[in-house]
Amino acid sequence: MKASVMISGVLFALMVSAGALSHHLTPSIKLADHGPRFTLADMIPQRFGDWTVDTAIAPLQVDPATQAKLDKIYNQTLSRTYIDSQGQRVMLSLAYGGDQSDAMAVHKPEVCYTAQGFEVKSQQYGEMATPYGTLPVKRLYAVSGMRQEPITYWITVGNRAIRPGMEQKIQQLRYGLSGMVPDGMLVRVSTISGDLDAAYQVQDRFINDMLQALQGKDRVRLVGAPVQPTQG
Amino acid sequence: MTAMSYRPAPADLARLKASLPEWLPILLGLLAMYGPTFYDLFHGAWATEEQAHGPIILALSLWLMWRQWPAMLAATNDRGAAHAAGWPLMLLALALYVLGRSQQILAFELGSLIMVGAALLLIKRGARALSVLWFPFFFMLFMVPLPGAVVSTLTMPMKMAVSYVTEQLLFLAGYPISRNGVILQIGQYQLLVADACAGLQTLLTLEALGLFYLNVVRHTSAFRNIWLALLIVPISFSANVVRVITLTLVTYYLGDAAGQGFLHGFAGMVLFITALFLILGADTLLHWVVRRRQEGKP
Repeated sequence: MKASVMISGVLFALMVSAGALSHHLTPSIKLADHGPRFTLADMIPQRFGDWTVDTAIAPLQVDPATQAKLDKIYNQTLSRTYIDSQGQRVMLSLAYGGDQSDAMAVHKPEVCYTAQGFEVKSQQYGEMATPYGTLPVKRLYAVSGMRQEPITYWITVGNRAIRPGMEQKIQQLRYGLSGMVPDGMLVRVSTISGDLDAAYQVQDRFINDMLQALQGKDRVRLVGAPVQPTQG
Repeated sequence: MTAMSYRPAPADLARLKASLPEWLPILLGLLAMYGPTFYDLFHGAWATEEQAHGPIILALSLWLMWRQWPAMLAATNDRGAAHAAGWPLMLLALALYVLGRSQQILAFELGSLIMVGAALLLIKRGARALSVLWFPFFFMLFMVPLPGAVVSTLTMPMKMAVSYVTEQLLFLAGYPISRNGVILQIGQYQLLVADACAGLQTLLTLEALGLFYLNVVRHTSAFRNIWLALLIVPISFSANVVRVITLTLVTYYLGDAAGQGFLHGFAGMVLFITALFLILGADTLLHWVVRRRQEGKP
């Protein structure tokens, strides 16, 4: 046989194996299908600590086109306004997606807000101390006309709260290469205020109150399993 | 991509038959890898507005390759031609493909297609083949989607710039317009400059088509080629501003429904026609400059 034909044969074998290998490695087990079912609306209490749901304010409705897009990405969303005895209002928004592979990953609020006409004036990573471990949060400050909205948010992929961006990608890959499609949660808390420090303090208080009111496994859904120091 | 090289003229049939054992396995291999990829693309990403240029780029690349294939064959021979980088590149490309395909990273998956093609050429025909066919391979890069992080970093400033220029121009023309971030307020109407209006995709598509045009007409002057490729950036920006101004004025005079309905699509046409005229104008101007420079020489 001619050498060039043999080389072609080798190339053929290599290419077909690559095709088969990638098919074999494509994750098929959805983490979301393996845990117990839950609904966000039941999971987060209507009333906890000093906070109750403020029914006077209907949460902002999004336009149908955006809603259709959201429905495609997220399996469940929850959006509520809470108020405390001092009249301080906090907006809570949760989004749960059962498929956190690359194409379907949770949308970052800094992108969502700008797409809706807000200007994100500042964004920085922070660490928020909770009794259940340190949360890798991201703090945003979005402005649209007169509306000034400081935002705190974090995301989970699988059972870990991680920083959005590179760490999120690596976590997705870690699950993906072990054959699993991770689920994920986006937790966003915001207030209307121009005083950033005070606003973030209120948000931290709200988040800690909420976490304390949750049951163990529901809390894990929101903030991930506590990080063991020994874990890489 | 190799099948297209042999025109089914009767005289070539014998040659086709002779080359079959060598090229058929490679074609089948490519089909096994990228058949599923393209099936998914046509049912997913390429059906969306942002990536609609993908299939066009692919078709144009294949056409360019088909066109330059005889030149490549003439410039190379298949005896002892293999370049040492071929096999490592092939393995790297296959690894990238496996990772990209299994983990749904489209940029890796499509990037690997370019690398596999280049590796095949290096192995079968050597480095000379790749230097003849470099342009189609380079052109295929436009098919690879940019990472989401890059897109969102570039989109926002571009949106702001388009909104700003639109506001300034319409204000100078005496329209009651104001701007707040990327929201334009004209008369009683409020317009949100959407991601699509940022023009990143438009810029890339125009740049790709501009390079394609340059490659096909084969200007001999490097000066003209480089300047035209650079000028496409401001041209695409201006065309985009024209589109947003058109939409704003349509909304102002005819109402919200008109701005969002049929005329929205029409504004896209305005954009491409504007860009086309600007590119042709710039090319004519450059042509004139080149002539002047040549005449100036003794």
